[in-house]
Amino acid sequence: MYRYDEFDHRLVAERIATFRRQVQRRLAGDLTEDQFKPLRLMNGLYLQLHAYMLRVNIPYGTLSSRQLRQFAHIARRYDRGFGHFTTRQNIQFNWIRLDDAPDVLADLAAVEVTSMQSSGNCIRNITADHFAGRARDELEDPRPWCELIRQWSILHPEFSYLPRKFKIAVSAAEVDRAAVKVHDVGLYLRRNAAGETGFEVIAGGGQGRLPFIGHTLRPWLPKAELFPYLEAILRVYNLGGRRDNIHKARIKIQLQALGADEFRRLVEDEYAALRGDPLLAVPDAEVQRIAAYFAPPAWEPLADETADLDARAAGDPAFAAWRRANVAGHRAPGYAIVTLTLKSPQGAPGDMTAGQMDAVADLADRYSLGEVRVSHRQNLVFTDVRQRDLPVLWQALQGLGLATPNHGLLTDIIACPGLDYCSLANARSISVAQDLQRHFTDTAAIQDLGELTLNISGCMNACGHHHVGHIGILGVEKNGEEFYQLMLGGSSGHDASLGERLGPGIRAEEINGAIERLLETYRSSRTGSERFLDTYRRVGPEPFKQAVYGEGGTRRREVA
Amino acid sequence: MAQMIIANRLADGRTVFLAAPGRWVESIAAGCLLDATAALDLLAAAKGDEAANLVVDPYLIEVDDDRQPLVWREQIRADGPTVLTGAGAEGATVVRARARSRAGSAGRAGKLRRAK
Repeated sequence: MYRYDEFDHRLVAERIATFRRQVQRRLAGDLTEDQFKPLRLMNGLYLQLHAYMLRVNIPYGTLSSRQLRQFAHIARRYDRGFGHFTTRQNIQFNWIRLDDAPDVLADLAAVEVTSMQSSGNCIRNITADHFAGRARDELEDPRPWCELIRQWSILHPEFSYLPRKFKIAVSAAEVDRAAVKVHDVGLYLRRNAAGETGFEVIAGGGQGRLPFIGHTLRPWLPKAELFPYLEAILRVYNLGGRRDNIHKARIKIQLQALGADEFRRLVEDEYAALRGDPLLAVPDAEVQRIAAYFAPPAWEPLADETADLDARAAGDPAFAAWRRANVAGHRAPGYAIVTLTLKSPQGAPGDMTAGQMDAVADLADRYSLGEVRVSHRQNLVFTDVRQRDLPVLWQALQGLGLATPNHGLLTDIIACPGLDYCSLANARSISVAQDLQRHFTDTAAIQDLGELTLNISGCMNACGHHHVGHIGILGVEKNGEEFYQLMLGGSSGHDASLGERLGPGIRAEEINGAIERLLETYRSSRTGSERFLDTYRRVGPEPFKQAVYGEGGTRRREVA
Repeated sequence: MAQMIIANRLADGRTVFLAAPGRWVESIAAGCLLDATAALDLLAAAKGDEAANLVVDPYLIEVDDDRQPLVWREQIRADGPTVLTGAGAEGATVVRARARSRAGSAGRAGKLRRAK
């Protein structure tokens, strides 16, 4: 994985020194909250309902065991013994003291992690497919490009005060595991007709209160042209994006207002002027230098051990269920990719205790070449597990409560922190997720449902990705009560689509029953191996509406 | 309707309640209960504490006779998250399942109405 060079170290160290002085001045009263707030946000420090929250970037979701151990240390020393992995491949600490924050940043910097640009109107953490570099369906590892984009975007002088935040995601796989099409800019590595790899460039996607699927600006762009083209997109957005209304300031609104063709024309004009700018040309040697950090590890020459594992699974249904759901194919023979879902019935989606972090770091060293990934679905991934180690790893993960066999299934729920922590939220999310996880516990039944994403947000900002869940749940507040709107038909994959609201909001205690009825409708309507999403797309919302609201489609409720 | 003043403490961000000018406490039970007249006077004092860098964003909330905030958001601020991971118990996940649904209890429903 990438290691900081002298410039990275210096840049982060100088930023921490600056922030330390800013915190001292704030505590001494030399800065007001209005003056200080943008400074702390530049370093990922929010003030939430109960305390300060620190958001820390995990670039393209790649983490070493050493870094994970440092998170455990921070959770223990400065927080309440846990951290929360988010849908942006970040980790958040919920109980950080302002006067501790500079020390936390210094401890993070010691393991080459920073919170810079994890908040504010700038280019945020660059996210990627969490199976990058290991997946069988991948053209090439996208992370060298993610790292180059990270370096280009950090303290970019022109793009440090954008109209609003800006999120970039990259994938090179046949299956989009990175929700690329709902980012401000999404990049797919693709081959052109001549067999050369380049980027499909997508812009204007996003969730929030006005969700959009991104538009393809360029079906194929040569790799060497990436930075002039990105610079052109950002410049068009920076100059033309709205700054008068925070709710209309994202690039998606600008693109919608101009129309995709006009937006593309502006970008192409700017790109034509930027092409050939030596500052934006990344020499091949530099691309190779960065790529070397992501070179495949020295895998042992192994053969696939399917027969042995099949025999083990035949005698152990629990292992079989876990293997079926949580173990994915690896590009190297004899190896596997293992997902640790942070979605046990007892936990909060994405939460992990310091003890679990330390234990997982140890397991990563023993069984996954010391590397861990964080997925946008709030899970962790072991990238390089020898297939022969799967049974013993599974047992170790069971002991940690991290072997729930539900990856990509009903109870692998995305949930934002919601009203339990977040000052923007209108309703709770975690409690809804926990109720569902406690209600749906029959592993065979859950696996029988097949691929299913259930995403929960506690407000319209959609951190919980409710627009792109096969089933989405949006918490709203009406007359002081929490209500929940159900959305169906969303997807964040290559077939990206936005969910449609099923009907009036329901109360929290009605959700489990409503989901039961939705699933029963799916079970009775599906044909062959149809996923929930496919069935919904085929039969439309009506049978699902009737299932939840009864004949007539909508049972009138207080919430419109 | 009785009121209290809520804020975040500057140094650690913790939710606090005004007990007296210059004195802020974490427990809502130790906070000062105010009538309408006192509320305005003490809000001015609280703003002074904000200017003196003790707290951030103080404002008035309505509470019932048991000092329970009428607005659910403020009740969560007063009591802490309704779900908790890893609290105190290293290596264990502790979930505190408190009053799961406010709306589910008819007796409490009236207390959920948003303060005017």
